[in-house]
Amino acid sequence: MGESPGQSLMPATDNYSWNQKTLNIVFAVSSVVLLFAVIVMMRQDQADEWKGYQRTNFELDATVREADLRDLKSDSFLAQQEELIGKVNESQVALDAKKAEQAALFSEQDTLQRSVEALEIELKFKNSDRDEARANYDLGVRDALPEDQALVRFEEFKKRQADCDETKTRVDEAKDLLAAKTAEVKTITADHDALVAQLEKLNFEAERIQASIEKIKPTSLVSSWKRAMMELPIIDGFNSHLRIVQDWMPRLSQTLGMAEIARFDRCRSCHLNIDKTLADGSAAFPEGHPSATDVKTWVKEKQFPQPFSTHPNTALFCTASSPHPVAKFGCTICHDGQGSGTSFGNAEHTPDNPILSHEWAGEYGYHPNHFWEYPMQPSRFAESTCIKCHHSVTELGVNPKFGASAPKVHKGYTLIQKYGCFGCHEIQGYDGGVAIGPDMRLEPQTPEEVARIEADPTQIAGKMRKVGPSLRHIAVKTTGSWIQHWTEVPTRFRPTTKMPQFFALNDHLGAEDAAHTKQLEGVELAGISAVLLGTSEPIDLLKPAADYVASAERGKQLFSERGCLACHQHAAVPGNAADFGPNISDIHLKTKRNAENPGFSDWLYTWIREPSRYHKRTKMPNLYLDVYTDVDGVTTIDPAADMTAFLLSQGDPGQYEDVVVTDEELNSLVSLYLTKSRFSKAAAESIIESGAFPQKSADVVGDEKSLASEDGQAILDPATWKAKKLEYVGRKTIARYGCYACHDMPGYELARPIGVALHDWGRKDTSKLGFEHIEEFLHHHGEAPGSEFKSTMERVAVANEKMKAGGAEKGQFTEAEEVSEMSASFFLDSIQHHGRPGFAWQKLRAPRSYDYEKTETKGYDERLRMPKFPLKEEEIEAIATFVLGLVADPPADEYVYNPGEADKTRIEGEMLLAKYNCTACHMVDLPEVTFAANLSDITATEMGAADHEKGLEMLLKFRPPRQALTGDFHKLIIEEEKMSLPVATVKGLVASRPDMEEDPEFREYGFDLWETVDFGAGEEAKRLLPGSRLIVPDAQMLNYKAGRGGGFAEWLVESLMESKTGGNRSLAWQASPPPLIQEGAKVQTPWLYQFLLEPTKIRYTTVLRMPRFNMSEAEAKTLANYFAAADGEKFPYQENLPADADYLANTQMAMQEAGLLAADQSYLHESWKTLNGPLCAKCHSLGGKKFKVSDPAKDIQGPNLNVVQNRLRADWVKLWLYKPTWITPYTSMPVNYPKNNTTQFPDLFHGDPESHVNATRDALLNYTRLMEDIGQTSYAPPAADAPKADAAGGED
Amino acid sequence: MKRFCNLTLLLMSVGAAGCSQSGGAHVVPTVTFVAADAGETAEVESSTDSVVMGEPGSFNGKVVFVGTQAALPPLIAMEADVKDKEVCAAVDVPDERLVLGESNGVANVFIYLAKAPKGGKELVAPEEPYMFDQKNCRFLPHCVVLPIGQTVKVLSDDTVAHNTHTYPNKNQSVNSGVAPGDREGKLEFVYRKAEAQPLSVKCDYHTWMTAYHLPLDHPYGAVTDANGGFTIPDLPPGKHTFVVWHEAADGNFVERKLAVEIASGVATTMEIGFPAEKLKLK
Repeated sequence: MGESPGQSLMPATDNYSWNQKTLNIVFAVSSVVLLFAVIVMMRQDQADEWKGYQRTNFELDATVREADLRDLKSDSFLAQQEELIGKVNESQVALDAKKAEQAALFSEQDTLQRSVEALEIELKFKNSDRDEARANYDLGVRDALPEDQALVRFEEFKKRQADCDETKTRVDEAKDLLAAKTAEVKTITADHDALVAQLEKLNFEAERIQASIEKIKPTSLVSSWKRAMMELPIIDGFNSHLRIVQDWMPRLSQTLGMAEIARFDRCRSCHLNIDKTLADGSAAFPEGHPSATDVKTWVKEKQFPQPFSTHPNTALFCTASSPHPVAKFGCTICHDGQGSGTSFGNAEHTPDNPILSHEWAGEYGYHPNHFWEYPMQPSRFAESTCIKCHHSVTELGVNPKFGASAPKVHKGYTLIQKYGCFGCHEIQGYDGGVAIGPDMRLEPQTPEEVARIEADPTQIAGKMRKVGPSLRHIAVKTTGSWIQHWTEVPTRFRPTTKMPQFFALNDHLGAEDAAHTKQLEGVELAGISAVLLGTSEPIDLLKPAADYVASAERGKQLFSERGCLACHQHAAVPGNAADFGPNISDIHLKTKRNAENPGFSDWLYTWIREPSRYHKRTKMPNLYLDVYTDVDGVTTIDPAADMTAFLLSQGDPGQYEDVVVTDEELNSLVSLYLTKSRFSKAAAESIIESGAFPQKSADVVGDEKSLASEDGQAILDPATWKAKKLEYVGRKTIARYGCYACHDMPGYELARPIGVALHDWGRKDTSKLGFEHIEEFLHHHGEAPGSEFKSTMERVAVANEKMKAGGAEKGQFTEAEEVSEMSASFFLDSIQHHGRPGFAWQKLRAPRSYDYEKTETKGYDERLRMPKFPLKEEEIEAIATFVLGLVADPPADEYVYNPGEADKTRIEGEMLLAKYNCTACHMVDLPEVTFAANLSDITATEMGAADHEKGLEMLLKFRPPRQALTGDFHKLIIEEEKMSLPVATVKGLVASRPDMEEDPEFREYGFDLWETVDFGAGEEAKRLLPGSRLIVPDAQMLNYKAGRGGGFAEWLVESLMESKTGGNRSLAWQASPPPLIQEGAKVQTPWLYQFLLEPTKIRYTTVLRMPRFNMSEAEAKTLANYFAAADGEKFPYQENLPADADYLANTQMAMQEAGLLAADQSYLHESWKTLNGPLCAKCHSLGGKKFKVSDPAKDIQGPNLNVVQNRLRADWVKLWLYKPTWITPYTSMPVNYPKNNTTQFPDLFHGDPESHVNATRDALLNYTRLMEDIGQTSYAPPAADAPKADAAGGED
Repeated sequence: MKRFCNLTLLLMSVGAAGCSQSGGAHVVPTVTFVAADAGETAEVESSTDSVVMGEPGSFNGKVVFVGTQAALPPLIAMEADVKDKEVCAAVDVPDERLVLGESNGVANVFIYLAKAPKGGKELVAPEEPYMFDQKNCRFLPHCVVLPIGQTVKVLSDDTVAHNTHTYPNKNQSVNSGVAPGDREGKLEFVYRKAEAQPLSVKCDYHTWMTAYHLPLDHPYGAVTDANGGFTIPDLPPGKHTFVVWHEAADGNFVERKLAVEIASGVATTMEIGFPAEKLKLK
């Protein structure tokens, strides 16, 4: 259109270069089109999904409130209302009748009021006159007037003051009169006023609800119209009731693309009720699947569909009182997804399985969006994001307040701990000292490494131990052929082992390749055993006394009693289910036995007796299996030797063949590794051929050292050369598979982990995952031999069909099947979409399957190395949940879970309880019994004449009462009578079990309570104190929830009842590891610290001792603090009040004032006598006197009392002395100072048992001092009166 | 099997070794039994299966040890070196696990109905407390049946302190000290519920001290006397099932379910055998 610059310019003419008419048409049409477009936009905007949800929600809200109103306006309410209105009317009438009287009173009141006011004015004037006189006098003083003049002024002041006083008296009198009159006036209207107030109060709630309904569902036309107007386009921008609900979290940023931006969550625009709770904290709109789509049905059925439902866990999430209020945390920090999205699709919801995905596509137009970096977590991985902030993980699995809030991710964490994945795959919890996630690094392996980390303040040492046994001295433990047999397929020897399988995983290979692989693996296995035996370091093994004859029979008893079964199972002693340590039923097969005595093994003896001698970092504790003399006083018993004899007596040693190593395969592997190292093919061949490595061994760095000779000469002896080659291949194999990740091996202390680091695997770029031919593999294979399906794809196709046909709900699956099959379906779908979850799933199911059809193009040494762990699919899912949560992307500091000192200690303590398996022996929370309580059969605990009220006060502080009734009712039929009984829960230990030979109505459980419980409230309540026996008929038992921990103790109790205590359960408990209930309130923390490091013998009644764990000082400190923290007690230090000088002086004085102590007596000295009297010494060694043994087998000897002052807390000791069964129901310790027994020590504190309790406690806690000051004391009370009569009882 | 045992027991009056009930009851080889109508006893299953009208009868007899057993040596011989020996070993303290009287009668055997019979007498707990005593570190008596609701007072005739520790199944356990020479019985307690079997009472200071209490909610229980004799009066006529319990019987039951038919107005007499092979001295 433009003219070229060369042409001459023409003047403008009227001829435009466009046609005005056409332009008008274009404008006209485009304005119409634009208008239309605006209308369409507005229309679409009006039709946003969220607006629809909000409208429905208003309807829902109104319906709920209407229902509330209906509930409120019950018949009784209406009757009450009517009655009140009637009464108000009546009283109004009565009031009207008294009008004249009232008017007279009002007038009198008015007159009095006026007179008060007049008098008050008069008083004011008089006060000012008086003030003037005072000022005049003060001026006189200032001006030093002569005395007489001053006196005049002073007299004037006094006169005025008297006048004031007189007026004040009159004012007061008049006020009294007025007050009396006012009261009189009020009495006339009082009844009426009270009734009106009552009516207003009754109506208040109803009116409030009515008003709130009116707001959202107006009845008046004007309001309705106004409300409708507010929804119109444009106007709705001005504070409409339909609006986006937005949570803005500027500090909880997210990284999108490369930019870090604040987080906006608009999820609550649709999920409007997510944080709504009722007054009791429960969900206001519990999630469910109502039978119809109308809100009335939802309200009626109390089930609400998404997005109208409340969060399923309001105690933990969303509500303002929860730890994660929605206003602070938003939604997407936990759920992921696109927070700014306001439609179903834009929010990036993620279905939990492909079938759901299909349904969503139909219902919401759902399709996966690959471009959003953080799609919402499907519900199966909902917990994985918890570990973004909860780096210790433990609190998600064990939590006194919230229970197991994220059990799946916690399970994944514990599985990784158990199987030691972190040995190969580093899980770094820190980035330059900044916490980025769970830290699961191996502990430093050498003293130099420890020193280096300690010297660097920015470094934090790893804490995990290698999970496998040490192989440092393996030659003394077992044989090479067993090592080969074991390593090839560990589960072949021990089906329950956690050792993964590295070899014989060749299902993905063709037959020929598999056969060849097997041969090569044979060489590798022989190589591994050659290296292990060749490098094994010698140790001094312990031996029993030369003349000791071990008894396998006694060994079996000791094995079951001394604690082995807390961690291990053994087929010869069935009945317990411990799996912390391996099942050792097979240990006789593999253990190397003494050459001169095949019935014994010095290695096993040493291992049992002193585990850390063989394995420095073992978790196996030292059980103090010292040699002792039997109760007969003659027989010497070496328990470790007896146990060794027992374990080996289970059978002959196993016979295992060495694998066959052919020269061809051996040479091929040597050649392969040499060429990978630095040699040409020809050079490698030449070395193999000649036996001559071109360097001296001292000059070689790397595994090739194995091939070189010291002097650099060729090795001509074929056997030696073969051994050298085997060692070389063995070393290469160990390095390739990373055996040292789990095992301590000489020479591999500093070797690096061989796997991919996992600390940010949850964000790993999926293009870097090697899916290879996995789909093809799963198309043809993928299921275990014996499966009904030929391939995983077939399995999933069948599952998907069943799910489409209705799933478990329609009987296509069992519930459990639906879970497992839909899980497989999800993961396969994930693999097909190249997702991380699917990759991880198959990697753990069949790690080598990713080599399918890949081995042809790979060297043997390039093949995948990941071993197969004996994991179930649900365990794999738990591990995936954990690993997908490892994102190394912690939010701002204030969001990362940062527990206070006590909680931190509790969490770290929990980790240690798990690490050392403390809960195998010790119960740390009691069993909980749920039953239908027939309240008339429940007897409240009686306080007898012997019980101390002061003790009860202490007890109620120590174990405050808890309501046993849950509020639920249970219907049942008892003796043909239908009953509805309240449901109750109590915590306690089983005292007796139903005798199944009895008639059903006599079958009952007995429980000994360990807590104070109230059945019911108010005057009707029945209180049961700890130590009470509660009988629950078998028919009324609803649930028994085992305690936390103590499995071995419970097993041992049953076993000892059989073998030792003649069915007496209390005595059996006294012989077993004690439950640690309120241990933190019982023991002094510094003592516990010492005890954990070096457990001393405390109890004489037990058949076993607290073992010594391979625990660091820091761990002992944490664990000691843990118990105090868990009980909310002070730690690490406690004051010992009874040793306090002021306390002792005050007590002395108080005792003397009360006449319980003579002026010349010392409180502490008298206390020492109390302790040393013939009571405590009946069962305890104390004060330099040894416990008197009568029958070593049956005597009940209590703990030595010299340890009390350092071991126990003062309050606990006192409560214990008041009534021991309040604390430990099964104890043999009696009430020694019953309140009504004043003749025990009549001359001490005037025989006052209360003082005896206090004095005994104080003597115990001043023990050393009294031993020093007074020393050994024998106190005997004055002889009781000679027996007056013959013994009663009427015996022969 | 159970029925067969009962039949054997009641009709044939001969031994049936090996025919034992679960719970360890052993059939008695020497039963002399006078029954009104033994033919129907096969139906006897519980203690109150059938009650006929008529005058109450009584059940008496004797528990006899079948076999030989040397007398047990004293539990604590005089002057033995035990705790508090000046009191506890002042005399020979007998071993009461098995006490045989004249013609091998077994003392201290409990014979009782497992549950109150229909038509039986109401249990009336005596107002006055039961005095349970101890002397020379020995409980007196060794075995006793106690009605529920009766207060038990624990006395001591010793100059050393004792501790009374009960091990009930259904009742509240007691574990409290008793002052030396307490003739008043400051320690008192009450059994509120009937127990299915006798419970042991021990002293934790002197662990050899043992007694047995059997709280019952009906009056039909007895302990055999020094010569093994017992009498249970006022039984409603009809079929009853008795428990025969002894501390040293294997599994504690001499007879777990002893079926007896009580005739109206007369005494039903039975000799109950305690076979030597059933003895288990723990």
